[in-house]
Amino acid sequence: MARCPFCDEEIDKVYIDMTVAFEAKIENGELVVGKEPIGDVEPLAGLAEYIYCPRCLNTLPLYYFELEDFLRGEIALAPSEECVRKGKFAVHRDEAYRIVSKREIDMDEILVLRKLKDETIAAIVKASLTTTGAN
Amino acid sequence: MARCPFCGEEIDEVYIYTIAVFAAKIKDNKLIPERTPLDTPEELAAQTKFVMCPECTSALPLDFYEAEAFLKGELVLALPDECTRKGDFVAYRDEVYRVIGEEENVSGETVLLLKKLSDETIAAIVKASLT
Repeated sequence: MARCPFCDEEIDKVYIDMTVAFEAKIENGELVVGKEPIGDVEPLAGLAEYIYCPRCLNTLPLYYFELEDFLRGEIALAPSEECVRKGKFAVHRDEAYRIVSKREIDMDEILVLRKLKDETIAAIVKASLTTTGAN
Repeated sequence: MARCPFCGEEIDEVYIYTIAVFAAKIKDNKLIPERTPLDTPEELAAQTKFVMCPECTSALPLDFYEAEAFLKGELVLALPDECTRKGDFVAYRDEVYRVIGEEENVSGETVLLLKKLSDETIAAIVKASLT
């Protein structure tokens, strides 16, 4: 499951900010906004302006196209100082990852990590990083 | 009933473009945003970016609260070249109004914000003076 790098909570959803259109009409003398936006939300989601953790409401440094993998646990976000790093690889919470990118959010450096699928490579990376004390 | 100054159609609703927060989670192995936003109607109103005519989708130079007055007929929008103007007063579609604002929409088109004169005597005098 995905984990927020700020509050450290496990999350199974995110909040996303989108600009969408709603119908608004006068009902009982007041302008009332419709409950659901006009048209499909899904195609607009790609234009999401911010993505938040639903627990602590911090902005997650992710693009929409990375979200699916993040919620599946294939992409992880981790504060740089919590990772043991060597070149393009990192170990975080006893898992080995390839570093996708470094992103800054409010002065915090967050690593975007992709889980190593190949178990043998993951084991080699993990052994190499945890025995040498690389950083 | 309200009338769009751009397409001239009578409208009983507007579209508001606003920032809304949606929850998104994996369903059936796919990331799906929920259809209903988490925001309250008040939050959606406060976050309105612009208001549009539902007929022609032109941007109307109104905020959410002005949109309410517009749909109630308390505020009228008109293009300057369709009005006969003298100072703060205009005649438009055979009615007389006081100009309460002159706004540009997001496309840069100028629109007059008008309020109908409630006093019939004053309205008649202004109308005679303008026409």
